[in-house]
This record gives sequence, structure tokens and C-alpha cells, in this order.
Amino acid sequence: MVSPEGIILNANNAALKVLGYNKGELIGKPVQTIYAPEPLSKTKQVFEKWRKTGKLRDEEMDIITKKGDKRQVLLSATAVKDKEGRILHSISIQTDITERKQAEEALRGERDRAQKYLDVAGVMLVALDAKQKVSLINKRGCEILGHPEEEIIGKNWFDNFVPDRVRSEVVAVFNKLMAGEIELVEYYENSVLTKTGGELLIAWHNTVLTDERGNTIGILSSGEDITERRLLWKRMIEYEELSKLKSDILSTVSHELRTPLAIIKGYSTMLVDYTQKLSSKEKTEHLRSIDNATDRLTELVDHLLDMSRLDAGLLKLDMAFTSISKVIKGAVAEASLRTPKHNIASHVGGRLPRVNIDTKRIRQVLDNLIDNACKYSKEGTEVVVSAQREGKELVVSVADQGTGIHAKEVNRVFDRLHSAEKRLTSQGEGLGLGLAISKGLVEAHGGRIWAESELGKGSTFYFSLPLDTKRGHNHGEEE
Amino acid sequence: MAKRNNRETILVIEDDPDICGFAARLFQLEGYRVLQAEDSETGLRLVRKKRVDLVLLDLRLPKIDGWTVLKELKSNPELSSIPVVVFTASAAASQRNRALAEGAAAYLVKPLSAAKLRKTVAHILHHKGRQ
Repeated sequence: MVSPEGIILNANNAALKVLGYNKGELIGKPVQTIYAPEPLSKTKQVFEKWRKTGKLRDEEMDIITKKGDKRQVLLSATAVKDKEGRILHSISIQTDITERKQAEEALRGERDRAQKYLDVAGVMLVALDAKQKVSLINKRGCEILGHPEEEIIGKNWFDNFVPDRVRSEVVAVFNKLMAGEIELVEYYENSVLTKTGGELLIAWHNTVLTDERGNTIGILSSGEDITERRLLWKRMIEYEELSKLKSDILSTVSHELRTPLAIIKGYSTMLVDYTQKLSSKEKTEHLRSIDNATDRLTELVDHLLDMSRLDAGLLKLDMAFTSISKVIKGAVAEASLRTPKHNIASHVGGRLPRVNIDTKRIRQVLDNLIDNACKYSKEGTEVVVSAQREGKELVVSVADQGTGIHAKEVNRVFDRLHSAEKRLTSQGEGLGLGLAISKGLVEAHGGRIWAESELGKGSTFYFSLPLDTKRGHNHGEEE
Repeated sequence: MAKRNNRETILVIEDDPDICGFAARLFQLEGYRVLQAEDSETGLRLVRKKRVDLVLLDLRLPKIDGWTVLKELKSNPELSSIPVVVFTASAAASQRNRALAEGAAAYLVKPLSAAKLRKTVAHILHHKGRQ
């Protein structure tokens, strides 16, 4: 019993036993005698609360025994009032909770220590219960997900932290695992969704959590963020592929340069060493071979230069409005002289608008397509060059009746990588850069290039050139 | 004619007509008998049918490459004694080592002077004759 002024009026035996005082020592003393001085404010505060409300319920207080030991109690108190409502005294019950508190304290310490272990781990640790809810996550896990712990614990893992595109698949695996239908996959990689909506690739190691009877009750996973590592790995592979491509191209270039050089070196040294033994007719033949070889070298150098100019975006086009019919007719006439055993024809339909092109470069594309058509078709067959207007484009095509190209390869023929691969394993002259250069040249004009082919029936190569409709009108239509 | 028949026969397997023509002409000028093949199949047929004392072999050939020809020649006990001189535009050291390991007598990189080609072939044939 305590008076409104805070003086102890009475105490029962249980209280005296706990405190170690006898009645005489305690009665008449202020309540502060038995409450710990620190935090003193707490004692004052609680006392004020009692005075105002006349009630206290389960206030945790520290009390000091006569010997000076500190014990913890739960204090509940009721005010006993007179008829006018004035507080006469309080009746308070103090439950000694020291042992319970100590046990709690120990548990908390245990938990904090465990949490500390989890938190120093460099990987994220996540435990899920059987209902897919997060029951534990460590500091690294929170960092990776970008959420504080309280935004994660108790949430459904799959709904909140797994990207949409893989969710159903992962949930299905998890449910089967919980149902004991499948064995645990101890290692797998998949992405998590972060607070910012980004995705990070995580490498997971998993352990099944079981109760004492061996039932599966959840899963504990450690996850490592391997996003960066995977990216670096990808870049490394790309770089390796690129350097392999470069080295393939280099060895192809070296090979292709050495072949005509071998002809020049061989025949010229032969002409010097055996000048007495060779007839002048034969000498002329060898000189012609040397001359052809120098042409081959020149073409190789031109191709290499074109390719690197296109790569670097340094190709300059000398644009002028030109009649495509004339360009085609010129190309066909000269190709017929080069390869007289093919029937090369032009079908240019109707009146075509003039196109704004670098004539020399478009002619180069045409020559390349016509020469390829002849190279891959039998002598005596037809090669047809056509042009027609299709909407805002002019489409030029070169069709042959040759061996054709496999469906899988047909659009890879413009790919330099493809030609480099092929060059290393097969025959044929040149760097195989012709189509890659044609593609670059057409695209530099704002056009497209593509091919259609059927094995055994032949191929048709197309390229388009944009029609400048406004200027096209100014320049009128061709005759 | 009698003297010519005693001379060695060289088979040139080379798909580039100018290089094939050059090598063949050079060996003719040196008094050898010469057989020419533009591809591996023709080359292997000739080497089985005729007496051949040395093969000059390009590596990059259509359909069947020179590596296959080299392996074929070196694994056949009847043909394995024929020296094979590789004449190629591939300058890589790894290719040279591989060719020599697989039994090539010499590895010559294009371009090459007439004299160097002549001397290499003569040396190998001379050396072989003494064995």
C-alpha cells in the first residue's frame, strides 16, 4: 500500500520476502526506497500515471532489495478512493519476473548472436516456410532486395521477390518440394526482383528445413549475387569471339594476300633464273599471270579498305540523281564480256524514277551480285537483272539458276563472320567480303539487301534504294 | 628419253591454276616428270596409280583438304615413304609444327622464289636417294 504522497503504508509477507526487509524497516519510507534509482524518471513517470489514472497495469520496474540486488517486477496497482474521489492509497501487486526476464534476455542474446552470424555472411540467407512466406532474411539479403527487413519478413517470397516471367515455374518446383514429390535441387540460378524493379541474378544453394519428425517445413537458401560476374563472363566470351574473328579474318587476309604474291614471286624469279630456257611466248604468258595476280592483289586491298571504311563509317558517297536502267545496262554489258558463257540479261520494267546514288558504288554492288550469280551457276544458264518501283523504294534484283543456298544460310551470306568461317574451311577466291561490302554500301544509301533461294533451283539477291519522292518529281521520270 | 625416264616424278596437288602451273613448269625445267592435280581426290588417285617420288601439297583445297591427303599418305604403308612437301599460304607456326609432326618432309610458305622451291625439292629427293 502506498499513499498518494508516495509513502509505503503496508507490505505483505511475500513482498517483504522478496525485498529482504522486515515490515518496520519499510513502512513510512518513500517508494523510491525500493525502486531502482535508474531510471529514476521511470519511477516518477509511473507514479504520476497512477496518481492521474488511479491504475497501473504490468509496468516493468526494477526494484532494489535490502542487499542491493536488482530484481525485475511487473507492477499493477489500483487506487483506493474516498467518497469524494480522492485517492486514499494504492494497492499494488508486484510479480517478480527476474528469472523470466533473464531467460528472455538469454534467448534474445542467442538470437542476436545468430542474427549477427547471418549478417556477417557475405551471401544472402533466406528461409521460407511451407506457405512460401519469408521467415528469415539476413542483412545482405535486405541489401540485395533493397527492402528493410520488416518489408520482407512474412511476405510471400514468390509474389514479391521473383520476376513474373519465372514465377509460375519456380512456385511449381517449390510446391512439389514441400509436398515431398521431388528431391531438392541443391544449386540453381535465377533472378530476384529488387525494390527498384530491377533484376539481379542469384546463385542459390538450398537446404530443406524439417521438423523433429522429419516433415518438410520450409527451405533455407543462401544466395550470391552473380549478376556482375555473369556480365563480365559474357563480355569475356564476346571479346574472345571477337578476337577469334579478328584472328580468323587476319589469317584469311594473310592467306589471300600470299596466294597472288606466290604467283608474282614464283614467275618473276623463274623469268630471271631460266631466261635462256624460256621462249618469248612463254615469258609473255608468265608476265600475264603476274599481271593478273597484281589485279587480284589490288582487288583484295580495295575490299579491305572498303570494309574498314564501312566499319569506321568513313565511306564517302558521291551522290547524284541517276538513271538506274543505265547503270544496270552498263553492268550487264561488261559482265557479259567478263563471263561470256552465261546469259546475262536485264529486265527493267517501265519508266523508273531517277535515284539519288553514288553510281560507282551501286555499280560495285551490281558487279558483285552478278559475278556471284555466275560463280554459283552453271555455264549456259541465265542471270537476270531486274528493277522495279515498289512504293517509296526502287528494288533491284539479280536472279540465277544456280546451286542455291540452304535456307539456314540464306541471310547469313551477308555476315562477315559467316564468310570468315567459310573461308577457313573451303575453297574459292577472295576474302568472301563481297556481300558484306555490298550490304554496307546499300545500307549507306539508306537501302536494304536480302536474298531468297531454293536449293537446286537458284538464288535471287535483292537490294532496295529509297526514292526521294520530293526531289524525284523535280527531276522527272526517265525516258 | 631414256635419261628422262630415270628422273623422279613429282606430283603437284594445288587448286590455284597459276601456282600449279608455276610449280609444274619449274619442275619440268629442272628435268623432273610432273603430274598435276587440282583437287585431293585426283591427287590421291594419281599417287596410287603411278610411281610418284615426291608430292608438293597445298593445304587449303576444295572438298578434301591437304591435311587429309597428308594423313592418308602417311598412314598407308605403301605410300608413307613418299616425301610430302607442304606448299601453303598459311604462315602460322602451329600449322608448320602440325604438318611436320604428321610426317611432312618440309613446310614451305608462299610466296617462295623458284630457287628456294627447286633447292628444297632437290635436297629431299637427293637425301632420299642416298638412304
